Amino acid sequence: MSITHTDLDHNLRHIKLGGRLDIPGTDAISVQFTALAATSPMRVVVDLREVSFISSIGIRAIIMNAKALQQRGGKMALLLGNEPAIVKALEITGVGALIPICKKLEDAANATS
Amino acid sequence: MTHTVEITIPASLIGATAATEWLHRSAKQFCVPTDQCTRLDMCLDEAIANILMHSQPNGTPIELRLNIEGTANTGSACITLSSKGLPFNPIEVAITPVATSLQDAEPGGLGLLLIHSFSDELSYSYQNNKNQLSFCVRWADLNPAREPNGNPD
Repeated sequence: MSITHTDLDHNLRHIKLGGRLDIPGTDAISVQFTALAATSPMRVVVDLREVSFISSIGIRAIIMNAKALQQRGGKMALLLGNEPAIVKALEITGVGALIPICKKLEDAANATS
Repeated sequence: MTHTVEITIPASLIGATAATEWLHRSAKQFCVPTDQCTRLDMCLDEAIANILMHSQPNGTPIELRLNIEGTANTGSACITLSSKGLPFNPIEVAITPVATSLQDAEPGGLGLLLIHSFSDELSYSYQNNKNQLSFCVRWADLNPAREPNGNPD
């Protein structure tokens, strides 16, 4: 599991996750993920295009960080690739109703405005 | 053809990683289609997470058994997890409706939803002081061999 970030401007952060967001993978990045999603930029794009697997633990981490961000007045959007199991898992759990899901970085950035 | 492989893992993060590697290795060895392996992977991760969070002290053994029947074209694969502990049937737990706003979103409940959605069959029993949860996936060739005239047989 990997996590990196780039601040695209003073108020927009691009967090890239890679690998498996399963039990061990989510545990490995959860502290850093929360720290990156909770610090100063109020607009956060979480990039899942390099994530190969996601289970409820990973989905929960995303939702809880998005909720915390919203409570501080910020907004998160997800950038999603074409991995069928990930698309299905997010659909089943209704994530799209909670957090905007986009295919392009530009659209995801706009969705956090 | 029927194949059975087994492994015992500790109820821990290391055990969860070992279980994932075991599943992928076994599925590849016995030609389980990749998309079906992914479905098993999802159910297995959720079942182990359930044990880690709700029933077992860290490190308690979890026995895993994978049964594969058929071929890469048509078949089924089932995983059974057995672990000691007080009876707990996750199938009977009511599935929480998904939240419709971030404000209402609460942790928990998503794992069962995913197991139900990604498996074709789900069963639970309690025997010899062990919880036994089984889930199966089935697959069939949706593009059977065609006759030379292009019509399916």
